[in-house]
Amino acid sequence: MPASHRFQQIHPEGTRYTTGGGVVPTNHDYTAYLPIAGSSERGYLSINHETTPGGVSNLGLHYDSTAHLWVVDSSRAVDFSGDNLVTTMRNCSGGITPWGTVITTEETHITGDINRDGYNDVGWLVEIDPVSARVMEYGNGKPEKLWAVGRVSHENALILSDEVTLFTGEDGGSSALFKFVADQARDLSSGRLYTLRLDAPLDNYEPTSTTGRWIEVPNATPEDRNNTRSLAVALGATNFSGIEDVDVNPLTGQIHFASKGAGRIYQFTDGADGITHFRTFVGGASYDLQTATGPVTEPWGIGNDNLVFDDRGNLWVLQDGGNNYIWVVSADHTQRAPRVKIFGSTPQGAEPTGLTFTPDYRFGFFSIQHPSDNNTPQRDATGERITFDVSSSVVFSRRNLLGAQPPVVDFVADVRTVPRGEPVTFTDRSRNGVQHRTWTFEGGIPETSVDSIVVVHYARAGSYRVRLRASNAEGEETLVRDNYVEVVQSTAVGERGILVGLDVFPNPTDGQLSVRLERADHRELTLDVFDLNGRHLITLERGRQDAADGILTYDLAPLAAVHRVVLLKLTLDGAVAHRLVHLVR
Amino acid sequence: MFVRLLVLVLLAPALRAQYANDAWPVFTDVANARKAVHPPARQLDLRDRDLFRLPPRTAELRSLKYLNLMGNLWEVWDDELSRLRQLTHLNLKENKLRELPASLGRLRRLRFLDLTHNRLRTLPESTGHLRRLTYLHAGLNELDRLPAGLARCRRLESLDLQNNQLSHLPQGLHRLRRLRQLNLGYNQLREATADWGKLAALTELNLASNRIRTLPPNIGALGRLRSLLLTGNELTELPPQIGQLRELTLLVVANNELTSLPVELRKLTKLRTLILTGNPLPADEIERVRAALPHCRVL
Repeated sequence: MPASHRFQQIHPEGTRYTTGGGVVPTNHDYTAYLPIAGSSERGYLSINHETTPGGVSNLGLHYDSTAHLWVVDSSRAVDFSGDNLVTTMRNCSGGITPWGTVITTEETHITGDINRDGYNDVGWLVEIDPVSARVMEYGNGKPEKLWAVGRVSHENALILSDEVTLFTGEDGGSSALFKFVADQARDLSSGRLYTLRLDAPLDNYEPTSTTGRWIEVPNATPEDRNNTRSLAVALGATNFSGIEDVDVNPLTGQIHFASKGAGRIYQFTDGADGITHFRTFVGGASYDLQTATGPVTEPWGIGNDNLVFDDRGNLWVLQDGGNNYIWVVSADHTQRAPRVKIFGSTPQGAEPTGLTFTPDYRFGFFSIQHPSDNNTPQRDATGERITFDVSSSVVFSRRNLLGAQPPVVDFVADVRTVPRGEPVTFTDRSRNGVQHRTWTFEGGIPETSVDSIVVVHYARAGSYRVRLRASNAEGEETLVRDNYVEVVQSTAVGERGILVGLDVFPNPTDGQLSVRLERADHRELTLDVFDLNGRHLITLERGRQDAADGILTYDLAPLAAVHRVVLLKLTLDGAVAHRLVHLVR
Repeated sequence: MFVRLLVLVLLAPALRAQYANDAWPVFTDVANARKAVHPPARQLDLRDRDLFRLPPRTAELRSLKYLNLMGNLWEVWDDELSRLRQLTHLNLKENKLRELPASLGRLRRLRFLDLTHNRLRTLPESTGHLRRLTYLHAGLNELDRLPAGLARCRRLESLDLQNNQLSHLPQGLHRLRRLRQLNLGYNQLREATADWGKLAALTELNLASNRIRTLPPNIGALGRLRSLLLTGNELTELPPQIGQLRELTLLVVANNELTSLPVELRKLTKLRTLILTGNPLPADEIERVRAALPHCRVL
């Protein structure tokens, strides 16, 4: 992966599910991020396991914007058992529906009808509700597979935003491309099925015509549906040598699909005139790449597999079969003027599978399938040393969104206006972890410090600059605030009038807080506590009459459940003063 | 509790005759499988491990019922495998096996055997010892002959032999009275002679992409047949007895040499899909069939 990006390992094989028991199986494949309420920071992650028997993991997860890491809150296995579904097998790629469900695909064509329902048990698309982690029902009082879309070695499913059109391809067997048009929006249990036939055959994998048409494939009975592969062949479907993923360019609406055997990604327009503009979009050639060590020419090779477009129309291509690259093909790429890059490659022995993005395209999820057990450790975004020796998924993003970050510097003083000689307490409130810091208090005593909380005195009246430089392993940042502290000579009026002789301590405190008033000529005291948003938290004193010289002590422990800064407001005979108090657990 | 366990043990395997049992864990390495004691490991998945033979001490997993060795590099059988006498499911799909030994027949509890996509030229005679075998998948091999003993696998319900080099139907096929699904597509069959009338349970028959020129009249005796795939043969006619397939809902005869169709097709009242494409059939012949089968989609 380029230095501009980081990854975080998620949900490795062998992890215990948090719900329902069992451990995460191997061969992670398609990863579908399904947002909750459109969020790009909280959602479900559906992960296929291309195993026999197969499986799908359902995760609840969120992005911790403080730690800049994704957190898995829950995980469970989708239940395919029982007589209705019997089982699932080799869950390969899939698709996300516009209505928020996920489709897992069974990349197998094994024969057998255990439950005698007339349908072979595997070789179907299966729609899953990510909220319940259950297979969908379609009005028959039981979970069902998507029989009407037909039975082949399904590799994937693309569902268009019209909520009725679905594309899927067969990896092996007929190697045909299929299109399904549902009778009703959001209901894939019935509809018409078609397969693509080009008007002229491929010649050594290259199209010899730009047009084709959809041939309807009967899918009325269980026998039709069980035999989709055979029907497609009988009806003259074009064989594309192992179709992998299908995706739609969000900018042009053109359909793109990968042929693994041909090592090509084809594109076409599916419009009112049928299939037009059919051509090879990328592949079947070598491309000149600019790398950090100079230009290289890299053959595209075979094995282009999972596809996904980003919001700018770039096509991300995940490849298996040796290269195991993640390619990015620019939106303006043509075979005559190639615009192709390699984004990354996977650890030894592993193929990258199943990329999907969050709705804002800041994060991407994919899987590292079947890595070798001799890979060397590397650090992921958590800072931990991890070794890809089992299958897992990863989330990746730009560096500034994932993992440790340089400090974002911030500080506060408990008082900004202070009589000459009185203490000012400065607190470092920088985020992202500070390993080293340097304060510079212009005109103050001390003039520099490296502590997180510093008490400073100013000997002369004036306005003073404060500077804080903070650093960690990721970098450093400096914050300078001019005229931040005003040191005054007189305390005759207003707040200044009660500042002299007022002491609030200890500060920081884990709960017990004392207020000392040295002046005896005030009699009526009110003490209130606010948070930094101005919300009133508690009244400690209201119109206390016997306030005199002495120390008053309060328990703020209930407010100190978390680290926070609160504002203590003192009203003394109508004069007001404030102090920032740092509460620590 | 005991009753629940008993029910689980008795019923669970029956429910998943062809697949792994969801009620039991699937181990993915021998070391961890050997640590399991109560209960002992019953299911082991060693798929895609570049294995040439069983990992050491696998054979000590005497309670193993399900073993997945798909996607490895086996060229020859490992005799250790024959010691796993409790196996009911064995998946050797996508290896490089060239032959199987007689000791295969020792795995007498096998119900499911997947040999798809290997390099097998034949199966051992001892396959016939697998009396409990219910599913045999051996497609995408180089099989050019089958052992007579296969006919002794009387419990076979699903036999998938597609994409081989078979020029004859399995000897004694008619003895497989429980057979429901038979796939012999993409072979070298020149004829389809068998005592079809004995295969009373057969619902799916795939003979596509062979070199069959005629169908025997007794094909009409397959009283439960629901789908018949004959795409890509050399059929010049269909026997009138095809009209006796009263349960048939799908008939595909695309890409043959058919010039006419028997009038008896009209008796196929349950037929819903008939695919005739790729035959030198006159247009009026096709229209006649359409008219005779008003509830059927004729393509």
